[in-house]
Amino acid sequence: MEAFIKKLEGILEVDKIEMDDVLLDFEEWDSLTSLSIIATIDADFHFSITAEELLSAGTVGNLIKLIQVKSKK
Amino acid sequence: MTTGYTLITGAASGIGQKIAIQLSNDHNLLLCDKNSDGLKLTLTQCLNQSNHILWEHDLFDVRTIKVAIEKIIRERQILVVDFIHSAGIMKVMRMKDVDYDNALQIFNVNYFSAVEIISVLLKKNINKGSLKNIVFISAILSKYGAKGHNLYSSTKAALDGLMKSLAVELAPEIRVNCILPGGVKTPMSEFALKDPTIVEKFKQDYPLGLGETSDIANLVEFLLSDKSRWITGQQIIIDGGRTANMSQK
Repeated sequence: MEAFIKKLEGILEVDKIEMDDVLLDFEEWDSLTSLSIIATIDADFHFSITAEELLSAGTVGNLIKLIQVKSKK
Repeated sequence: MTTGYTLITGAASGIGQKIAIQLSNDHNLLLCDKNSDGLKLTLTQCLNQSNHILWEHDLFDVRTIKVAIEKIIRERQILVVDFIHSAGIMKVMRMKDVDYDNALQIFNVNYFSAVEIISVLLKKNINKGSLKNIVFISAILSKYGAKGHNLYSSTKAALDGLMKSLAVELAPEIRVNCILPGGVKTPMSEFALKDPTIVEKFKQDYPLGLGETSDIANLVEFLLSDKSRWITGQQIIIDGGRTANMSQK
């Protein structure tokens, strides 16, 4: 998961993300950014999440939880 | 005795599935996909079900393809006459987020898998010079651009380039063509079609509306038939007029 968080920091173009950071508040956030995150999750964890799932996660921490839950399935 | 088969990759869903169903009446099919449930579902919709063979393989595992296809051809005593490469994944991302790992993933499935399969199908000791037709399902995005489609466009352009050279290298025994569909209703486009603003944009962009998978399958059928005997080396666009449409939005 650490490697993914590093990638997430790269996509959002910040040096460090915190678990309670709100995805929509990142300066880099737009629809294409969210598609980059979805594609990265697909490549790293081999499952897809929808744009709605990503949006409704809200925070970085919830997104990580969502990935952990889906990874176990 | 050996029998002639049509190999279709990506046969568990979308365009590949429709091609399989439509060809199942007068072709023996070798259906490939990573999704075994999807493959079985395709088979239930095919005619002459006992004639067809299912090949479950994740084309991302490019290095295992050659051995797998050779094994099937030898063990099942079949010969592959037509190869239709419909397997493909789409990745939409900003260029600055692209890395080698996700580039490799999409190139393995969309492009390198076809390279590996064809090189086996051309070996006389394995497929006995039986291959007559190659059709790649490319995309209009191989010729035109769209935001975030950097990798997807590249893989399809790579297929188009391969097709051109193979059409020359393998003539006159084998014809090789690309079909370049525009927007077709498939599981791949499903996520975009849930968005009403995108659906509205598609209506403006496509003079004939969005395509059906059967529109593409009909063209495949034509390209495999003798009616297209003088067509090779072509990027055939089938897009309901999308790329002809210069109307002001």
